[in-house]
Amino acid sequence: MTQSATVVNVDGLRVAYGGTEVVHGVSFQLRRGSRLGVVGESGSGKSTIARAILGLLPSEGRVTDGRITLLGTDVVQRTDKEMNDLRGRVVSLVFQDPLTSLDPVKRIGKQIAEVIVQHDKKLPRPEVRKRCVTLLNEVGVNDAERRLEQYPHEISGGMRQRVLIAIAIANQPDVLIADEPTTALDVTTQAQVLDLLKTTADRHGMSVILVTHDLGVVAEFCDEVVVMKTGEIVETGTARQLFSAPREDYTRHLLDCIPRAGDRRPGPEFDYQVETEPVVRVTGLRKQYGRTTVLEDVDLAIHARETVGIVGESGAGKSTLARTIIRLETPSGGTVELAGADFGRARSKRLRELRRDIQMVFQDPFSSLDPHMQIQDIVAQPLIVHGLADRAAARTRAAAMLDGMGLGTEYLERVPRNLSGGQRQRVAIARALILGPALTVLDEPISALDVSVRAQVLDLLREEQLALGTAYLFIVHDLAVARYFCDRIAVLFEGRIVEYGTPEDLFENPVHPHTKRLLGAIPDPWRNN
Amino acid sequence: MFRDIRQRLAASVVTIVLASFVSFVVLRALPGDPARLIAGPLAGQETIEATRRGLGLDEPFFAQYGLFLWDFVRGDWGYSFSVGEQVRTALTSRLAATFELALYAFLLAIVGALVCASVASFRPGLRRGLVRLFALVGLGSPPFWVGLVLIVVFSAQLGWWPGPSGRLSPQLVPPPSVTGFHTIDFALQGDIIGVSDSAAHLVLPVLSLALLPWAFLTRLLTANMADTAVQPYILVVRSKGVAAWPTHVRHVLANSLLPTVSSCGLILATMITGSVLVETVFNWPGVGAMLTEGISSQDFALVQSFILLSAILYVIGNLVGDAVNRMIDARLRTSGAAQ
Amino acid sequence: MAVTVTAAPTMASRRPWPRIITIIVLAAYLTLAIAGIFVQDQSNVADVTNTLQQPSAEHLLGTDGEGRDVLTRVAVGAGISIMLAAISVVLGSVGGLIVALACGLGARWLDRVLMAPMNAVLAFPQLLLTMAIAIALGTGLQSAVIGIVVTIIPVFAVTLRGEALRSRSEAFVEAAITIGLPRWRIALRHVVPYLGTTMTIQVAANFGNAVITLAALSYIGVGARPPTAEWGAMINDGLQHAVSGQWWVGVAPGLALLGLVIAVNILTDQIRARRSADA
Repeated sequence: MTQSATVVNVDGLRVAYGGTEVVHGVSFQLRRGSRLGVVGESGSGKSTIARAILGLLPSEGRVTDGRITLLGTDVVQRTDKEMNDLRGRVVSLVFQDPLTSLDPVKRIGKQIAEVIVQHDKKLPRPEVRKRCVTLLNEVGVNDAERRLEQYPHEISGGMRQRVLIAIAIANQPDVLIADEPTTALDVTTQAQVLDLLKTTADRHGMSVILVTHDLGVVAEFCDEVVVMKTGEIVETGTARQLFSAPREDYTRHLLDCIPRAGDRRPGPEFDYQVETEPVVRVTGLRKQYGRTTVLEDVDLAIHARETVGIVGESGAGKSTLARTIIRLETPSGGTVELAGADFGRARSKRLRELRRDIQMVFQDPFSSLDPHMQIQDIVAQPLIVHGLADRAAARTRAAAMLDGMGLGTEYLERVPRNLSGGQRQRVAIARALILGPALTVLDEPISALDVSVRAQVLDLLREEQLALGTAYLFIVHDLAVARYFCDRIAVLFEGRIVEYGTPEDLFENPVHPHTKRLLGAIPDPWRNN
Repeated sequence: MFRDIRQRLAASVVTIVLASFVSFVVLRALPGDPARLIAGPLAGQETIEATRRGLGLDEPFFAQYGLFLWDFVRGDWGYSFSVGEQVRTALTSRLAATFELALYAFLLAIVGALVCASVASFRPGLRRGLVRLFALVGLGSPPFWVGLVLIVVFSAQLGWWPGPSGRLSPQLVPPPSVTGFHTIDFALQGDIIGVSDSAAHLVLPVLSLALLPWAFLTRLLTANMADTAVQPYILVVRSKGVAAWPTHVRHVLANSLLPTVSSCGLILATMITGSVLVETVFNWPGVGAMLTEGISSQDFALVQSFILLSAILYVIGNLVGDAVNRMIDARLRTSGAAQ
Repeated sequence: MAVTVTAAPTMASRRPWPRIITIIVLAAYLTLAIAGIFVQDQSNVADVTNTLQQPSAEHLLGTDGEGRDVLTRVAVGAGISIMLAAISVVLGSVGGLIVALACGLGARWLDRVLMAPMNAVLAFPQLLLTMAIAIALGTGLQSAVIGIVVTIIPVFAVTLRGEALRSRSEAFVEAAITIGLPRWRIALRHVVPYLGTTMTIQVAANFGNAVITLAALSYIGVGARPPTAEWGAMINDGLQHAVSGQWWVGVAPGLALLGLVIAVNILTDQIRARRSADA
């Protein structure tokens, strides 16, 4: 590796917000033509580094020490004016969340043209327009002429991300910084966008820094990796070496959190040979909003101790299915039988009584716990509501339950704000399971959590299932997790179940084309490396 | 989009009808004798009886309301004993003076707020602090007191501009009315002295009236700009190499103005109430001053018509603000059509 | 496990000074108001030999056209403004909260029925309707308060209703539903605390407005009756002396009002800032 081949050199970088240092002396290099992944959980400082390279830290952020060299010139020493000349021409950004990364009141064409005109003020207008069209074609946006006249809200999320990429590559910069470019996208769209980034970077000889929390994405995309934790670098290396022989415990821990093919959650497999009466039987379930049908003809039977996974892309109706079964939404048709009772049509008092047997764990533990309540009261509440215990007894049982989940007495009187994401989700699980429900609906219970705590939460869910015998309906978008955790998996597509079977059936012999497409898009860190 | 506007229009009509009911109830259903309130404290027994018949007070409640509404729609807003004219003629003859004042104040408020908010969000530190202080003072000062302070400082002490002496110096004759605005009518006459005299008379009242909406808009815009400035798309624009100031004008300002437009109705409201509170301070011969006099002489016919009219104006203002917002913002346009 | 730092801590929220100053200023106003109670009897004592005196050691803020001490009257006015604004806001906020809960959490039809009169009241510029109500009920501070309460209720109702509606889609409220909690208990246990901060902000903001509205009503002549030392009435009184140079008569009560409203508004901003820092 020679010096001239290095396009970005970060050396001993320290960044502080106000008085708090968040990046503590980070060094790494980006070689010409290579793709470097910066991986870390929330709070690792990875996005801060990306912004520092562009010279666009938030107003209270400062580089307190170290150097960032971009093609031989020091970014930190340059004025904002000098940086304007580099940004968009030499280095550019593909930002996370395409929904908010385009100005909502400006047409697409105008936003692409802006970056072209900025660095070539004399270019005649028709020429600019022609280049916009070429760019859109290059990033695979069809009907480019028409798109130029559209507003961001009129096109899909995947297409917006493509437009952002078009903006980023417009002047063929040497360095492309991609900050969580696929986090907000579906698995299938994610695969396409990564592919697009890779081919365009190759074609124009661009070097890429990819900032992400997702090791799977890194494995698909990068050839070198920097692993970060709380503002420091834990490990640096090639992708191959990192995935095959990680040196540090933290890296190993992160890798362990990704379920591999063949991994299986603990406990005995569900025995489908034994005939039992299902605890929940959903028949012909339908949900409409106005004229739009979101769910159509859904049949499910879930037994005690069984975990049924629901997978599918966003918009397939996964969440609506969960919410309709638990009666946060009223079914438009079909039945939901809960231990023989007609739960789908129960009303008022009867409905509230039946709820004792069907509970839910929500996706976001930050919003599913009342910020004004103490942990012990949150968990005790269901017992009190159903008259199963008085306040004191309910608190005692809640304390015991939480203790079993690793949240000791010191947590009981805290409010949710003072807990980490993983701890909050434990509280949410305790609240759902303290009633010993027949069925617990898990709506993406781990996707809002940091990678390193996901496995713990899954293990906890499994332990409790084995102890209590509850059945799980597990809504999940991550197929690897579904394979690891579920007894059977239903693939939801446009509101219908298109395939239903055990993980082996599904992964070995997918029948429906949509299932095949989903499976093909799963990033697998060990496939290439 | 049009269906959406139709719905809003229908809702506005309903609101106006309800508002008319409220203003009817306030007068008729509250304790006290409406006939006496409307005829005025000096009216004799006969006049009161005549008023009672005219109002249909012997009829059932809703019939009375119907009569009230019908009279209002026809333009028969009753007789103002304090002015000694029909309410409608009294109001319309004084409207131009109020409009001239309000229009200049409105322009000052908008331009001033744009400048202040841009300074505040673009220049941190001292200048931002000054703008914030200005907004706090502006929002905390009753307009009539602002007028008083301005008179004390600029008229009584410094003598720069005239104080409470109406629209013109006594020696000048009002210009023939074309627009009703003295400044413009004098300009049409080519009368320089008239223009400068009427403009000088406008300075202090306009400032008093503009301060509240100016401060209010400044605050709103500053908050919107602060919200917009941290949006991811602003970072993306900066990453294109666009410098800070053009980014502010092209993207931050454009996105911050949109939500401001819909508070147009609120500005209108501060103008209406402001003119009621400010005109008396400067002896401005407008609708507001007339209303204040009407209030002190318990002239309810005048007061009732005025508040109902301003409610209608206010509702229309909100509607227009909404419609303009929809026209500028593509998102609202299509989301309305999609639903 | 260590608590993860996701948001950058901002400098502004750490500085305690603005809050301390605001609280000192508000405490000073309360002291002034309490002092006003003790000197209430002197506030209307006219002294024809001592009219329109400039501010001096004897009369810190001078005397007015009838020789009354302006500082004494400003102090009495502080008591009147603070007390009446507080009463109006407490009544208005409680009324608004009840309407908002019924609208936001109750049935659709209830929402429609209750919101119609709220919107009708909101269709008027606030001060004008307050005026009309005050006139209809007869001049006096009582009518003024009633007028303010009537116009404040919908302001609270609409804002809190919006929040209550939003609370319905909050996951913790949905969680309460799935637990089997009855609707009214969800309202009390979960939604009311959820509305807390918005409510506090609205209370503070409307307190400032109520002080101004009260003064405006008295200024126009439908609030306090003449000898009462109400700030708006005093400003009105001061107007005739403004041109002739006795500025203190009208400027002093206005300054007192301005200071109080600014202090309350800064407090409002701080509560608001703290909430967005928490979020």
